[in-house]
Amino acid sequence: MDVGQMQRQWIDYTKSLFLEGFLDGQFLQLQQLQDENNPDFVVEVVSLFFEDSERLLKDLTFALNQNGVDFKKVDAHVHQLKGSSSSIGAQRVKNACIAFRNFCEEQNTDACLRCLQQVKQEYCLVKNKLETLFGLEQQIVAAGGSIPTELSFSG
Amino acid sequence: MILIDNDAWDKECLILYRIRKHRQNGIKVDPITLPKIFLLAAHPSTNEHDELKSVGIIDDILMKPLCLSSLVHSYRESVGTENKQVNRKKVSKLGSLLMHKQILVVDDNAVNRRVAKGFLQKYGAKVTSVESGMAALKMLKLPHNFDACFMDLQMPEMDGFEATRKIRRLEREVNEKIACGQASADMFGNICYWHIPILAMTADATQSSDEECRNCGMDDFVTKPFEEEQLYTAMARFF
Repeated sequence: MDVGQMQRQWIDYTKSLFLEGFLDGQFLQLQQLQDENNPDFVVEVVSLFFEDSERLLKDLTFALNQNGVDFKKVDAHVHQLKGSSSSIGAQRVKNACIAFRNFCEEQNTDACLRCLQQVKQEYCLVKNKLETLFGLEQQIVAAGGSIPTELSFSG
Repeated sequence: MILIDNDAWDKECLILYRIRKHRQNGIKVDPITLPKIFLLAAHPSTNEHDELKSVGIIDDILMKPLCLSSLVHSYRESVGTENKQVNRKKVSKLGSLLMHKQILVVDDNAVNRRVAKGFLQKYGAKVTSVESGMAALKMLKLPHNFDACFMDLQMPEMDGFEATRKIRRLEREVNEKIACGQASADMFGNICYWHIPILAMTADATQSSDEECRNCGMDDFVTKPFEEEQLYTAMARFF
């Protein structure tokens, strides 16, 4: 595959992530913040998100499996996860967190456990997608090309 | 806007030399942000005038005596009314507000801190980020060099409301001491009235009432993640 083909593949893959709702406009913002002064900004922020999320999901699993569930604590964790997913544009994770918080308010353990499953699923999906995207970027750079900066949605 | 009489221009005086140098250096900078310079001439444009205008040292030549409509017309032309100028203007606007400003970001979430920092740095601000209300208090011990503070509301141990209340108390104490002569302003960086703009960062507008924010001493709030226009509107009050 030549650089041009790789770049087109990157563009198509990125577009699909938006069309399928995995990412929203905030991710575009992150890409725009990347420049010569911050050349690895997106990867840096997304890596922070992965670390943060994995810790939170672990804490949530622990908290929901206690005998007396502390819903305030559970809600606090979900709030964090909602915030960080929103900051990077991980739309489906964010939406799953919003639903989760509603059940925390109702103090419904079973529903919360289901929500946790949902959030874990969405997290795994977006993690996979982003890792694939970064892999494509590495290939482009290794072949001497540069990551496209324009994504037109007209075509 | 600067209006210069043609006769004054021709005489080489220091101020005019500086203006010309500044303009020549500023050619590469976004022209939207430079003040408009108009030459007032008694006679119609000469070759020299046209040259000055085409190189961008002056924006236009106006006939003496000056009339309002030609001034307005030339000013509008120099500012540019095409739509495609609009976005560039907005970016420069926020950039001109935030350039070199020292900003403190307080948020317990590492991802949010990094994204907020990246956003503000893009517009030229110097950003320090801390992860708690306690850490914010340490940073804002007087005297400090910060121009503004973005404060997350929901944080463990000390939330944004409490941190802000404490900061305002510190400022009040110092301001009162200076006002009654117990302390002199030069002990506090030569500032005799301390009030750092504090803006709450909320995940959504309904999260907490405007009233609650103002009661504890906040100046305004912005939603996160940051949005250029909203940030500009909020920051324009202070800078």
